[in-house]
Amino acid sequence: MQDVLQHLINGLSLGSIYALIALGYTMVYGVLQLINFAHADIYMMGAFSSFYLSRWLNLEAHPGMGSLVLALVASMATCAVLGVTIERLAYRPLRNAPKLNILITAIGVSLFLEFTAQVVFGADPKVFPTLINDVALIETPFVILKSLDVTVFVVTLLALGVLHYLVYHTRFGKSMRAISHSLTTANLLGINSNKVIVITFIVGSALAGVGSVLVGLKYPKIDPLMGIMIGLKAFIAAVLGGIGNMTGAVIGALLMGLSEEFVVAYLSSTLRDALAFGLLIGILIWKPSGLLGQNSIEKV
Amino acid sequence: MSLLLKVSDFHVFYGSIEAVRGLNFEINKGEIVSLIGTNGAGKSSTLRGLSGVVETKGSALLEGHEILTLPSHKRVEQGIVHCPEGRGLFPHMTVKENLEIGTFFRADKTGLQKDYELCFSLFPRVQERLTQLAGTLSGGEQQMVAICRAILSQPKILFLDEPSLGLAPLIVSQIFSVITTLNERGSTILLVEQNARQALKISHRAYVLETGEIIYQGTGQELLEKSEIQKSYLGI
Repeated sequence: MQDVLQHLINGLSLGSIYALIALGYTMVYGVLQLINFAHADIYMMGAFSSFYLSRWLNLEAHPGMGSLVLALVASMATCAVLGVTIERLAYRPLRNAPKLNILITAIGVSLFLEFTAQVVFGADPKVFPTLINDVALIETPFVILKSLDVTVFVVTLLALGVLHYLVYHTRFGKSMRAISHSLTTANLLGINSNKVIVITFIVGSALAGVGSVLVGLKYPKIDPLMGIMIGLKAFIAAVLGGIGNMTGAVIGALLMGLSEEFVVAYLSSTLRDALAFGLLIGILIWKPSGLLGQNSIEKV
Repeated sequence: MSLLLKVSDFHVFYGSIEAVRGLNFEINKGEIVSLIGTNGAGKSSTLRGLSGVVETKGSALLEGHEILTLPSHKRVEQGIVHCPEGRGLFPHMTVKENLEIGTFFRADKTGLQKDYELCFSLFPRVQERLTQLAGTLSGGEQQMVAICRAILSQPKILFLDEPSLGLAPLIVSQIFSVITTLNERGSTILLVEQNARQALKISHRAYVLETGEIIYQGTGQELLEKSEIQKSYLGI
């Protein structure tokens, strides 16, 4: 049992990465009631943009804070631009179309990005550069706390802090919460919903950009289909927490990371993915609204 | 009296269904005008169309400027302020946040402060409840917050959609007296009500709608005395 603490650290580290991606799903769902399947591929593009920037600037030769920040900025910017472009070109024209049309479009955009990336970047995996030195900060017989895990926590916490401020203390945040309750009412109150939706895509996609760099550091192998599995898991985490609920997404993601880690540690690593989808099936059967989600009553 | 809103050949569509068919009406500055009629007559649809949240055809001039071509949030800035049926508060936000949302486009801090004072003098209860979540308020209190939020959006013309719906009689008369007070202070109001008698009593003029068309119009008093109206809408 002495390695429980170690697994706890690993699980939280994985879970906080899931959280960054899950938030993008849940925020977009909140304002548009759309599962943005392209979100996972936006994340993948973020990883590639920071990969190429790192290679171009030879960041690997100077590992440290500066390199990490540069990679984060590149990835966040790429993801934000891509997210806004997709919203503008693919989703906005369908704003008043039936929900199914826009869902299918999201899947189409996702496939488009995955296969464009295979053509442009090549289908073979690439090694993500080491942007920070992974040294053991605390080393005891039972637990090793590595600088990489600390970086993941710190960056995630910073990102969540900024997000919390945006959502609860700014006009954008209040408008976004208003829209996620009722788009029509928000419009009646003078809220420019298109603008708010665009900012939502920017923020959600940038968070995925942060996630992609952290994943690149932790599991340094990137390829054009890298978004699929982690995207599905982050999506499950968002559903687990209650889709549309941001606190729920974070809690769901942490639970997901922890349970994966412990299943792998104490049962079998082959059960890792089975657990994720088992959780999804379980939550859909017993609490479809998610842990923190509310049953929405549709009034007619 | 000067003309504030002139609506001509105004249609509202829900997909292929035409809910409002070619209305023509006018609202002068400082008036209370009511739209009355049964369920499905097109009263709320008219308001929703003028606010820009449903599809429309025709023309609506606010002080001579066409508004139907503007997106809904621009219409609010122009002074078309709509207090929706069912109040439309955000239950998971505090009363304060609910009020603030109606003011995001306003730049005049002092004017805004005055409007807050007006709201709190009309409804002291709202001030007491500022930090509470809107979902925890009673129906009457929610309606008060909704009216305050609309006042804070600085309306040139205030649309009130069924402000008395589902409220206790005592609250209903309080709401109607506030409408009169607001009007005496200079507000122009377009009121939609199922409670036709109360609405006609406080209205300068009114239009009676049936299946998307205007079938009668006149002053509030005239319509109250008209036998067809009494039979169909006032239950006499």
